[in-house]
Amino acid sequence: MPADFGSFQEEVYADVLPQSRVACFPQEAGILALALDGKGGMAAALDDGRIAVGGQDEPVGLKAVEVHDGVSQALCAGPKGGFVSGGDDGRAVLIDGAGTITELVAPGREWVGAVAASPASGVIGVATAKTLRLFDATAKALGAAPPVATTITGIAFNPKGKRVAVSHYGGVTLWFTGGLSGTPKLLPWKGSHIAVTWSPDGRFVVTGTQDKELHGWRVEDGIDMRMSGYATKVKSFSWSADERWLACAGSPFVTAWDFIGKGPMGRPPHQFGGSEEFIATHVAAHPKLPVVAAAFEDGRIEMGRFAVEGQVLLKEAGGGLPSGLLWSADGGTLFMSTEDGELFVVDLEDLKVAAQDKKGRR
Amino acid sequence: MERVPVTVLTGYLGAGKTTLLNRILTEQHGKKYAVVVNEFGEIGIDNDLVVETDEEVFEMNNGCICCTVRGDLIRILSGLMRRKGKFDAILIETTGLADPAPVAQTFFVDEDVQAKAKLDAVVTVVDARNIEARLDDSKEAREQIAFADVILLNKTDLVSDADLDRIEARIRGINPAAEIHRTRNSAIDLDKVLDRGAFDLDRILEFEPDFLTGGHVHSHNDDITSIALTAIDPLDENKFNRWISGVLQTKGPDILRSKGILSFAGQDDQFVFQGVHMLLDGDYRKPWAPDDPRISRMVFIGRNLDVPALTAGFEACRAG
Repeated sequence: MPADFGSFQEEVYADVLPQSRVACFPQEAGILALALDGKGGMAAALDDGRIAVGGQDEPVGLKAVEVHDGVSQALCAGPKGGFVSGGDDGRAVLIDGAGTITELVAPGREWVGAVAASPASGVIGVATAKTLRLFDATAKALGAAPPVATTITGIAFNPKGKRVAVSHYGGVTLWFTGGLSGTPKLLPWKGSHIAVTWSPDGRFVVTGTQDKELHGWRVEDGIDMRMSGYATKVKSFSWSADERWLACAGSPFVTAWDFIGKGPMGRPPHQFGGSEEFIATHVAAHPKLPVVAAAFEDGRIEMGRFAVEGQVLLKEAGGGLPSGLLWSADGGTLFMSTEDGELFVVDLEDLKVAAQDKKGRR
Repeated sequence: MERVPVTVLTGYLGAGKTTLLNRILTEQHGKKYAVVVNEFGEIGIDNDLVVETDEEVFEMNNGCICCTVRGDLIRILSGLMRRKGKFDAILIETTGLADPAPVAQTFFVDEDVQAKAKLDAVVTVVDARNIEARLDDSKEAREQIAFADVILLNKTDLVSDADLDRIEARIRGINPAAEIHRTRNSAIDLDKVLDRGAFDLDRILEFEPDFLTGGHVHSHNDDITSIALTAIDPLDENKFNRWISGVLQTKGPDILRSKGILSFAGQDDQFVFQGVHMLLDGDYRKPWAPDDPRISRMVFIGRNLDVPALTAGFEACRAG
C-alpha cells in the first residue's frame, strides 16, 4: 500500500548559523531509523512496518511500501545503492529507490537483529538470532556462519569488506567473508556487547556494551581498550573523515576518542556540547570535514570540531526523540528523523562549499 | 508516556502456567497483549503476538556479583516498544527451572526497558500435589516462591484441606509478603494477577500487604526464609542507609527480595523501598496520616538470614 506522505510543510526551526536553515517534513508514521545511500536516495523505517523510500532532495515525496509484519529492527544502506532492512517478523529485504523489494530472508520466528553492508566488496550481512548470513549485492546468498553462542547484536565489515565482525555476549567474532566455514577469530571481553563498528583504517574493532562503556580491540594483536564514563548504553558512533576520531553518543555531551597511533588509551576523549539534562542519542561525523554533528534527546542538533573547543547550535530543541542523524554524501545537508515521524533537514550549503574547497586544495 | 506493565509467570513444568496464560489471553477482551515464551506451546493467540525466546542470562560488569539480567528480554522488550500502537500489557512465561532474579533485575538495570516498560508482578503457579517435594529437592522451586508477589496454589481439588493449610504455612515461611490464592485449573479473577503494581512504591503503600501487620520467622527447615522487622521509634536516615547498603553489599546474593515502609526522624513523608538482591528502589511517598502510628516495617526474604544480626542492625538505626 504505497502511501501519500501528507502535505508539504516546511517550517524554519532555527536560524543560528547565518547559512543554515532547518526545515521539517512531518511523515504520517513514526520513524524508527534512517538510511541514506551514497547516490541521493533515502529510506526511513516506519513504526507501522513500512519502509519509505525516495530522493534526499524531495523528502515530501517518499513512497512507503509494506515490508514487515511487525517493524524493522535494523536498517542500512545497501552495498551498491538501495537499502537493507530486517524486522521482528524474521524477514530481511533489499529494497531499491523505487520501492521494489527483493527478499533476502523469508519471514520466520527468529528476529533479524542486525544488518550491515560493505560498499567495497558489495557484501550484505544479515543476523537472525545467532546466525550471520551473507549475500552479494544482487541478493544472492553467499552462505551462513555457524551460530555463535548468543544472539548477534551488531554487524560491521572491515574497510575492504573482506572481513566481518559480529557483536554478542562475551565479545566479538570475526570471519573472512569468503570463509564462513573456517575457524572464526574471537575477540573476547566479558559482558554483553550491543553494537559494533570497525575503524575505517581497519586497525580497530569497537563495541558499545550493556555496562555503558565502549570496548575496543586492536585487531592485529587483540589488545583491549576500555572506554568508560557514559550515562547510557552507547548505540551510536561515527568515525571522522580523516579516520582519526571515533565520536560517540551516550552522555550529555559528545565524546570523541583519538585513535591515532596506539589508540585512545591514556588519552581523555575530546568533549563538546550538551547540557546537564539531555543525552546525545546520535552522532554523525561529516563525510569530508573534521566536524561532527550530534542529536540530543530534546531534539537539539549541535555541531563541533574534533579537538577544538566549542560548538554551534544547528537546530533548537523541539520535535520528537531523535531516531537517526545522517549527512548527505556531499556534506551539505544533515538529516534527522524522530520517533514522532518528523524528518528535519538542515541545509548547510557553506559546509558543502568548504568541503569542495578542501578537496580542490588536495 | 505510560509505561507498559509486564507480568512474569513462573512455576514448575505442569503447575498450570500455560493454563493461566491461556485464561488471560482468552478472558480479557479488547486488550492487546504480547506474550514472550520459551517455546511455543498450546497457546491461544488470536489477536496477540507471541515471541519465542531463548533465555539468555547475562552478567553485568558493574561490580555487583549477583547482578544478572536477561539479555533476550532487553532486546525483545525494546524491540516490541518500537511498534506503533504498542501493547496494553506484556506477559513473560519463564521455563520451569528459570531463576526469576535476572528477569526482575532487567527492569532495575536497563534504561531502555525502564523508559518504556515496568515490572508489574512476579506470579508463581505451584502444583499443590507436589510442591512440598519440589521445595525439598529444588532450589529453583524455592526461589520462585521467594520471588513471587502473587502465588497460585493450584490443583487444590487434588489434595485435602489439611494438606493445603500445611503447604500454605510452609509457603508463608518462605515468603510472607506474597498474596496466596487457592485455585483449581488456574481459575482466578484476572485482576488478582494483572495490574498488581507490586514493584510500584505507591502501590506498596496503598495495599499495605500482610507483612505490615508484623511478623515472625517461620521455620520449616527451608534454606530460604524471611524476617520481618518493625520499629516504633523513628529511624535515622543516614544510619539506615549505611546499614542497608552494608547488608546488601555483603549479603546481596543471599537476599532475594526486600520491601519496607519507614519513618525517618524529621520527615513527615513515608519512605518506601523495594529491592531485588543488591538493587534497591526507594523514595519518599505520601505523608503519614495524623492519627496513624509511625511504625517502620520491613521484610527480607533470603537464604541463610542471620536473624539476630539483622534485628540488631535494624534496631541500631533508631534516631538519637
